[in-house]
Amino acid sequence: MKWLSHNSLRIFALASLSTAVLPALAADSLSLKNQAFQDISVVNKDGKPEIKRQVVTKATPGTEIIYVITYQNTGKKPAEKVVINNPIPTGLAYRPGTAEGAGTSAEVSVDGGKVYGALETLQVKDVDGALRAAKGEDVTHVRWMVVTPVAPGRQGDVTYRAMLK
Amino acid sequence: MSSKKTSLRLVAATGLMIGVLPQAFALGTLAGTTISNTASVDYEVGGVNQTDVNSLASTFLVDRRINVTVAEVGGVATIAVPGALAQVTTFTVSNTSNAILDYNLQVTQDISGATTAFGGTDSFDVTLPVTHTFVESGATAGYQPVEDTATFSDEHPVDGTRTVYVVVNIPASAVNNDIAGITLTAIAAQSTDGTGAYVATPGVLAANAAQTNTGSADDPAFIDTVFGDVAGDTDALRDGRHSDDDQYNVVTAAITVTKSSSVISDPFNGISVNAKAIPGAVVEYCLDINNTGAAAAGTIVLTDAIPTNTQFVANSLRTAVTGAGAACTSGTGMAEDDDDAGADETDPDGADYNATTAGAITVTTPSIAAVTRFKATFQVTVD
Repeated sequence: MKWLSHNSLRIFALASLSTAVLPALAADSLSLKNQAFQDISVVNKDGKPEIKRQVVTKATPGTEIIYVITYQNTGKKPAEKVVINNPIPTGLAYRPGTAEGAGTSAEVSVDGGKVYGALETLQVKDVDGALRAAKGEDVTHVRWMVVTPVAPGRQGDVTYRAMLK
Repeated sequence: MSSKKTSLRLVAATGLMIGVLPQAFALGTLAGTTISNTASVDYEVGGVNQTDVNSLASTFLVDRRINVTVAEVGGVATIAVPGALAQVTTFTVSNTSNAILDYNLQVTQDISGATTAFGGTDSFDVTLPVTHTFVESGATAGYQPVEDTATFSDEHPVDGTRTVYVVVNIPASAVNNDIAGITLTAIAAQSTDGTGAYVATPGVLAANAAQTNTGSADDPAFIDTVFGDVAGDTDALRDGRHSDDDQYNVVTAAITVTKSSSVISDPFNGISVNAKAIPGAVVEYCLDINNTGAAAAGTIVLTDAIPTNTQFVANSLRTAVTGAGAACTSGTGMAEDDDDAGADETDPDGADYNATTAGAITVTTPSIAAVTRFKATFQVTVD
């Protein structure tokens, strides 16, 4: 009897969830844009070296790529608990400490997105099976939690850097 | 709920990653690889979770970074004698680019007076045959003229190291201690299509690679070429080529012959250190053949006419005589008979009187090692 009542309770919870979610599913009120940049050293018109940010040009191994992800609330209601997630593309190594964005807290994952946290708190298994502190190249995902709800029409950027392996 | 949904989605992403991981390359992502990045956002409106929104994929092509290393193998000069053919120096060419390439192999000679690879001074030029660079086929280690016939490195794999032989002739005019410095340069070569992707044409050496779009923004759909090599012995930083040097040292035999004599006996003093060269005296001639060169001298034949007014003393020929410096110690070495036949002629030295050359003695030895003397003695009586 005890088991049965527990089970039915769970079913009820699931049902209530699905009814609650359905009406809102159609509203696609956040837009997301993802761009890749790189900083190059140029000589400006005064003859002085200057760092210029441009869309990725010469991407050879060792090049640092800057990803800028822009989110914008295109809906009519505030978007809450906004979490932006970016799996690190294959061939890139995350540069520690570069995940940032105004009004967000950033976290990384080194296990394919199961556990998130600050990089220095994460560990990975080495080839010999021993645990070691995670490094930038171990990062599989970066996510940013936007601290406050995003009001309609508002937008923001989150960014990180990664090196082409 | 939100976090649970996220983790479920991300597990799927992990499975994908593991499938792709083996493509991680020691020397970097291969040129032409598409790097695609898609971000997603999870959020709620009015406390209700919304469908995740994905960004459009941000993609670019990995460009080609050319990096090549040429390294001399062995660290010592190749020793050769004047007139020697097919003398080999060995190098390795390593393609550390993130792309397959051909390598054009060029040999240049040091200018006279230049300091050569291993500390000498260039003093002559070797003779370069029409084809003089050969890539190791892998069938048999070392230069094999029948097997190693490729004159350039064709479709040189990423992270691949190939052995290259430089094969030259030494002019007959070269003298002992001559040095010829040479440099092997490997030049990256490629054929590309309209997107910059490498097009392999087996057996055909592509044109030398050039950097692309150096002064303009990138076409994300075009694989640009960037030189990332270091400077070699004769080439510059980031020029799509690399070089290393080696050298040939010429060694040859240098033969000097000296002849000395001493009076062994005279009719009045007999065998005495005080014997005088009077008629009837026995005089011993010492022939010293001195090889002061750095290579062995082979097939030595020395002929010496018996002086007028003297008579050869029968059976007085001796070869491989010992003694200090150019001097001969009488009675040492090996006695030779006077004819030019028999085992004594090739044991290994030989000598005869009046057989090979009338009125003369002839001394033979198959070889005199570098910086070694060979001495022989014979006696005459004074008329």
